[in-house]
Amino acid sequence: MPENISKFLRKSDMVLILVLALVPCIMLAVNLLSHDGSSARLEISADGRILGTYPLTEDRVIGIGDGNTCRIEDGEVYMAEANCPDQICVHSAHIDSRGGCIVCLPNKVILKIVSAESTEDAPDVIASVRKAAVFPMEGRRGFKRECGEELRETAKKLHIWVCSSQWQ
Amino acid sequence: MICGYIEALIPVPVPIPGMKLGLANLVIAAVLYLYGPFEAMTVTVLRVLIIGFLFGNMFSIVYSMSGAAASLVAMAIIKRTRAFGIIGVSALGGVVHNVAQVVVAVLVLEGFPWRWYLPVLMLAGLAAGILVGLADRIVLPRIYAEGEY
Repeated sequence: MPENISKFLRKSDMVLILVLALVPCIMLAVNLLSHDGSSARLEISADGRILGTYPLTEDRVIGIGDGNTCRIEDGEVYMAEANCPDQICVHSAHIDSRGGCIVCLPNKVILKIVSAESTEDAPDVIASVRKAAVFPMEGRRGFKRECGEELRETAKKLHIWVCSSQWQ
Repeated sequence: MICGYIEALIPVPVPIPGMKLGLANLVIAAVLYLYGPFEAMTVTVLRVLIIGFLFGNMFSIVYSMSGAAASLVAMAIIKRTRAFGIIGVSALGGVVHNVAQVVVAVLVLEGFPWRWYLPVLMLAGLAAGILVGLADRIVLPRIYAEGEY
């Protein structure tokens, strides 16, 4: 029998486990401490594009693309519905002003709590654009992505946010 | 013999989605100790591909492959140092598995909030890894005791 197995739990194992436990705990503590809960907002993004941010104070239902629906209720945010196969986002714990996030990886949707600092860079105008205008080449992946990307860049320069209720 | 062993092990990780990680790593770590890194790699690749084609899609294969591969490499390296027991090796494997998956998620999805996900998944991987190591620590001596090996 190899000597590696013979000993049950070595001192080195315990040190390793302790280090492995400590690192994420510190990261979590940093996350929680650096988060300013007083002016928290919900930021919704899909496929890397920010679709909008919403205050947590008003209850509302927000449809995200065709696949996801998220709700803000009593200052809590959760994914009410999703058409993804695993439903991990729907079963995720509700998030509130203390921070955190809900991710639907199959649909590439992220619900994230952001604090005031990150919205300093906030736009002056939120523009709403219909899908037809944003993606004239719908169905052709390369074109779609390029158009979306270009629009986003332009919007960034003009300091506006572009939202589409039918964003995919 | 190795093939038969692999064959017998493949169905084990499949049935319970929630337990998939733990059971799979239980087998991988056992093979790593019983046979060696190359046999463990064979089982890992076969497992990921078979489960991927049966139950998942291209994306889920990429996710599980990255996690499983990184975890195996880390376990093989740390095992070589001979400084750690199987519980430590398996604990590191569990953590590395989840870290690698978060890295892939960041690469795939721009703006993935890894600051929140990484620590939680690291803790989950650590807990799973310790349990797996504990189970292997109990199971492996019995396999040796069979006398065949």
